[in-house]
Amino acid sequence: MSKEFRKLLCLDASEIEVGKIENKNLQGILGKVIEVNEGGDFIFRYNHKGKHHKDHSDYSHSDYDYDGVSYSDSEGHGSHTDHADHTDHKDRSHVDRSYSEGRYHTDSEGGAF
Amino acid sequence: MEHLNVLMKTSESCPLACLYCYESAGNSKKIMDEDTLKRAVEILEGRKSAKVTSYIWHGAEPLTAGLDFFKRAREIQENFHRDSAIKNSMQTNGVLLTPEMADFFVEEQIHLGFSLDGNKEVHDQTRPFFSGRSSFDNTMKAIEMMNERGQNPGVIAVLSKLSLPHLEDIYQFFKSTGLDFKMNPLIKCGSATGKMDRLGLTVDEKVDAVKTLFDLWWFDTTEGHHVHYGNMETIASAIFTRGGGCCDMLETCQDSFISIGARGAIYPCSRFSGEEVSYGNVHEIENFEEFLDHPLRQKLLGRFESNVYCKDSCEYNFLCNSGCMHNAYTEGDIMGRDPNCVANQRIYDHVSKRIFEELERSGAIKSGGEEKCQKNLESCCV
Repeated sequence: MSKEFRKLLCLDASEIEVGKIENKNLQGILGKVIEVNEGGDFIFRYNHKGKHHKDHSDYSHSDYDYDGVSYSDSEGHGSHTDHADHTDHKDRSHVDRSYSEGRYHTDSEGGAF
Repeated sequence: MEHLNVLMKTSESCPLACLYCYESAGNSKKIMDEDTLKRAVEILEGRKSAKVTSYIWHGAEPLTAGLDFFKRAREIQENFHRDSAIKNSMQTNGVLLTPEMADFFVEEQIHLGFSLDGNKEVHDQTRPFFSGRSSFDNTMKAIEMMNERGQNPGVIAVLSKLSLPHLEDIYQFFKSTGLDFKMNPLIKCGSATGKMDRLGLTVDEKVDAVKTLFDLWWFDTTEGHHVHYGNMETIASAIFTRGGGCCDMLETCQDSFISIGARGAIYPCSRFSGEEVSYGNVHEIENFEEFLDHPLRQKLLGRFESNVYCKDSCEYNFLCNSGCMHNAYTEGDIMGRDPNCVANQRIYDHVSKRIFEELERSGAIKSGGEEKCQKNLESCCV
């Protein structure tokens, strides 16, 4: 694992000033993955789907974020606003709210990658 | 299973002769019959605690089933679903799309994704009709039909050895058309199996190609234009969210994905066909819960936990969770490591490097954050 990767993994969402970032792709990504918790702090949206569970019967389905997962061999959702694969509709609300508060600027086909 | 994604393999037939088709389409003209369609939907919608069922109409080529099939499918869905929600999408080459179909799909909110490998020169290398004639204009016409109706479809392109000399052209093509896209590296499966020398990517080729495409997208600063490069956005996001994002990055996909073939066979994923990896047939089971207990499904649910190398030794396991079971299957062990993992690790490093460079360059890491990064560099864990 590269040094940059390790460093990146050490950062909390609250340690990133998204408003300073010029790269619009990174801005867009952070807009999707950062949300505001109940205490008003910026946090990375935790993806329950990626979490390691020792016992599959332990899944708390009510806590699941199903909206975060796409199927690698379909792309029927170009609008990025109205489907299960993307999280824009949910996460963007956090970004917009942050903006307003002035705190945050922000087939048969081939293999999955 | 509250939310279920179902890959419905409507048809085994296709008018195209793509070099890498994982269905080896063209050998069969089988279309899913109404009894199978009805039984499948009845079982799926009858499952306990269903909240959302997302039907992804797939093939070979789903449009070979014809408009009446999809009209009937919507009627059947409405007949069987209870309080749960139904979503529909389709992955198609579009060559059979008619204005009447397009109107219906828009009206019924069936979202279409197209299979298009890039500009005409690139696309025609791999996705011709059986006659050898180009399908490029037909697919583009279908995309235009959906654009005219405001649906804004996305595209999947297959990245093969034949794409390598054209990577910039491919990126610029998708950018110029405004199409959201994914680039999926070719897999060793179906028609591609015997052509890997000609079509398959080595680890280095795959890594270099994906890095090139990523950098084209990452550093594209064209004002007023935003290019959506689906699988790269997914990976970059997953680094922050600690995994997930796509079916091949989950600890298990089997708690939210299944596939049903044109003859009613139930598969873990649409990439499987035949009888070797199957959960049986919709005509042979009483209800959805019977499928949940299938020994193969129980085994696949534990794939990550049983994969000792990935679970205990790999620093990247929080991202890929042992990767794709189908990719592992193509190398002989469905419970084993995804053979793409060597390339993927290098790609994860590249993506994270670009992200961190941008954070540093723009001064976006707050005071203390940089210090913490350095301090924890040696001991950092995820």
